[in-house]
Amino acid sequence: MIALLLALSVAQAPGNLRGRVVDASTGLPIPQAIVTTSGGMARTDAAGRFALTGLPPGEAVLVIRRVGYAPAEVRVRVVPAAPLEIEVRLASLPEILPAVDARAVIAGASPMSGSEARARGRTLAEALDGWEGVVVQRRTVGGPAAPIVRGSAPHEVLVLVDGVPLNDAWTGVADLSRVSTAEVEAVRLLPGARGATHGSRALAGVLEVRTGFQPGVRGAAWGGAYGAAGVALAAAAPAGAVQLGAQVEWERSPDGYPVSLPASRGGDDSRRENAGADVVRAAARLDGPLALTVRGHHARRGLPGTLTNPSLTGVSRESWITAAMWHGPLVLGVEALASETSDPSPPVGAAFRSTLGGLGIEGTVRSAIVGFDLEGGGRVDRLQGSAVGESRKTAARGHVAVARRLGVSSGLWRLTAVPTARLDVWTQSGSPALSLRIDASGERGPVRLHMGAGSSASHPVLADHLFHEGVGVRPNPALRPERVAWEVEAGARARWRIGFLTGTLGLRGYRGRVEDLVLWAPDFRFVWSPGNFDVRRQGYDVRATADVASARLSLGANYSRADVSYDRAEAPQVIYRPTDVSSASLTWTPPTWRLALAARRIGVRFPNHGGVNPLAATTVWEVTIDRSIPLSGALLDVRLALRDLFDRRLEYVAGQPLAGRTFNLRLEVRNR
Amino acid sequence: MNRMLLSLVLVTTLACSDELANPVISSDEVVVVVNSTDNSLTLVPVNDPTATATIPLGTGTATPVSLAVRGSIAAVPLGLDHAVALVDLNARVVARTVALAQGSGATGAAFEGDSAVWVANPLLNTVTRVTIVSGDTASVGVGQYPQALAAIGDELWVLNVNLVSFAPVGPGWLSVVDLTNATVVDSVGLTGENSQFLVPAEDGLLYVVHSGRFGGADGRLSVVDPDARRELAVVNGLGEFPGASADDLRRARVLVTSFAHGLMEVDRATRTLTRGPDDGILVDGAGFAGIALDSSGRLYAIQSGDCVAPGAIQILQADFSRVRTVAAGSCPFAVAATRLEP
Repeated sequence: MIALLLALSVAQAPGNLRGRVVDASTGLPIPQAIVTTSGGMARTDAAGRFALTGLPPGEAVLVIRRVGYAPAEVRVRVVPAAPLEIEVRLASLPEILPAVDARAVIAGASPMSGSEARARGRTLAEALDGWEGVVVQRRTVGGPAAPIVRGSAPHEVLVLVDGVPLNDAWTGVADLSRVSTAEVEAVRLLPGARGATHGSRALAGVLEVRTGFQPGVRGAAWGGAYGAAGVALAAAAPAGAVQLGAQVEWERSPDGYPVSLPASRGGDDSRRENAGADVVRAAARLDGPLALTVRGHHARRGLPGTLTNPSLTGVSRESWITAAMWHGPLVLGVEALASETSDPSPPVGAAFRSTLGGLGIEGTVRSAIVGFDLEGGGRVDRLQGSAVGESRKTAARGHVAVARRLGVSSGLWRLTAVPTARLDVWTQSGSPALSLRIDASGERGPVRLHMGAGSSASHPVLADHLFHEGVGVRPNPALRPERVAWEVEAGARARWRIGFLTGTLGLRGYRGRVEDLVLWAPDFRFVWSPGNFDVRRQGYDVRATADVASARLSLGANYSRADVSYDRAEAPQVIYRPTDVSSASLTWTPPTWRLALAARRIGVRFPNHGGVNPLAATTVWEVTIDRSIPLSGALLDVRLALRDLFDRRLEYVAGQPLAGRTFNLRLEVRNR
Repeated sequence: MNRMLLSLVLVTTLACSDELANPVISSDEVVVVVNSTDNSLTLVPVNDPTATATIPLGTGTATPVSLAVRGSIAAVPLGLDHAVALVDLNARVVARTVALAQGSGATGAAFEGDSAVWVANPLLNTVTRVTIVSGDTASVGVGQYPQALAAIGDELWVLNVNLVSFAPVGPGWLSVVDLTNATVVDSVGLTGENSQFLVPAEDGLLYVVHSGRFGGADGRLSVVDPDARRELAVVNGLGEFPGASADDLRRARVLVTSFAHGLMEVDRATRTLTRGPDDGILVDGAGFAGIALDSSGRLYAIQSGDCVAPGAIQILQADFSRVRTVAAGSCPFAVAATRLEP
């Protein structure tokens, strides 16, 4: 009888469940994921771990959600007195692939963690410049910052923040300065033509950014050379069944910094005035059964013109806000943009004032049916203002996509293949565009191999299609969408150990053809307009890291070669595509300290279509020193950053140099 | 007097070069092409046109669309770089880049002897004298949007396009600058809008091409007597946006280029359009951006193409039959011939 009672009590006793939630592609833990079941709810910690206790015995369905990831459902059997431990792998939302072996897809590349991003800079623009072959192009220190991958144009790189495009609907370019690294949890780069898996704009690569706020309160202030200054405040805390977080930041960038005039202007030293910017960034998020993020910025930026045509009166004002909501398989997003560009006294031509307002709404739904992953979505944009000729313009696009993951284990090799197909339609083109891609990878021990092939299509940038005709500029109504007709790539990555040294080595090569790339060029009357050009693209990337754990030393280096030339015999490199980029870093992290020395080099690029008058390759050195100082109940982080040590005054674009040697001192206090 | 001087200079140049009836190409003669989007020059040796050379004009945001040549020196106004590049064609390098006033928009140049070059500043409504050796500058106010120049004797003739905010606001006119005291002494009214190009001819007259308005097909040519300082005649019917021109002293004709119609010709003696838009010479189906003649009378007509791929230099006989095609840089927009001097 006693035994029976004991058995009954055990059978009816509650069970416990522990687990860990990780990114399916990177293996990194996912904090702040919500795990719900009929018997309770839990949230993962910084290590991605969660625990549910007091669960009723029997079968239970766990639903795991996290902004930026596809929700997962896991069925488990809860057995009393037999604690269960599981691992859940979430696929990031923008990728409709199951993505389990996407690590191999980015052979040679590793995701950047949030702490690494913050160590590299305050915004994504600073954090990503020089990382994994990424070049962040800007014309002033505080100006819009756009990524270049594999010698691309900025509008060929798709940047997804929690699965929502950062690329604005007007220019197609993602301004990386809009996102503070304070809210970044991880970044990964998927280079190459990825229209089939990620859609429009992903002609040269995708940067996936995952965000989240660390629990607690933190405040920061900083100042630096040529009037640079800023303050930031962030807070995050659980509130019942949801997690709330918010951040607001104001930043003033350098202005009036020294420059060297070109020979045509006498070659003297001068100052670049009207190059500063005041930017306010804000972000807020709610994580729970329904997730919501709101992000925006307001910027007032000087438009200093070029060294030969400087302007003291040009100015741009821009307000941008985006909101996204996740609920089950549905993602909804809204984006609003208002901008004004004016110069009452320009160096050339008449005074002007150009305005643009836009509102975009998009939605995506995903589902899995008999082993296939399906996705459908669409977006509508409405634009008005003098930039589009005052009358309202509407643009719409939609897509459907399907993917399937195939996997097999053969001996010590684990092989996977993921074929994907996507069909895009948009209002500026009469015919739909099909993008295909297949990724195959194999893994054996420390070595991963990857091969990929595919095509991509990208809807035209609205700014190229709808801008207001003026003297010297004219729209091209026959402008065709850009396409990667084909691209193949292969790569390998290996972990290695030699004595006390450990590290990684990655190699990757690619070759492809881009058709109807949109470039601006003058016509025979010197009237400029966008046109379509066929381009060849080939190159390779080499990545290497080495760590000496005992000495707390880390070394990293990468080199990327990108030959992007017009599709004709002996054609030169396409305008403003660097032929190669490379970087190297040395980091020493003794307790409470971090010292980093980094160099990045941008190769030759041409400011014209003829391959003459190159902008010389430039190498920029930086030093960063971090120190953490415990206070009562808080921690003070001090950072001193010295940029462009040898005062190279880098010019991404001819006649528009950035500030040379500068310093920045930042203090941040956070609760412990 | 001016007509006599102009004729004397041109005839002397011709006589020094070769006999009209039996031309011999000098090994020192080159054709210089301005590649606008490349910001470079292409040098084409007349006796071996395949042995071209490229001279970069410097990095930056220059928009060169014109040049003047004299012996081994080329003066290339750099447009929105507000400067003029003085190029040593022997050494094939930019010998000096002279900064002009901010906002100059330098376009159009003419040599004053061997010692100075004048540059038009269309955005400032001035012309600037640049001393070649020292780089010293001095400016003179002229008309509205000056863009083309010709130095004749002790006078500088300045063609005012008459644009405001890059759009024609009325007929163009010529300003006459006395070079002895650098002052404007006269002006000559013209018939035609968007007056872009100025050609001094062997007959001592000046020929002005009015490009007209885009789509207006109202291109025309003014004939100006610099001695009388008046417009003698107007040749109409040059069609859609005629452009750069050249004097063919051997055939007493002015050749006018057009992107739409190709090469047209005006008989100087009769002042009639002997080859117009309907029978203009196109090569490979394309028109031209500029034209120059070497001392033997061969034509060097440049085609801009799409301004991304290299443009073409079509070398033609005087009867327009093609001799050969030579590649230029991107967006060739102006051309001139000169004889290199040691």
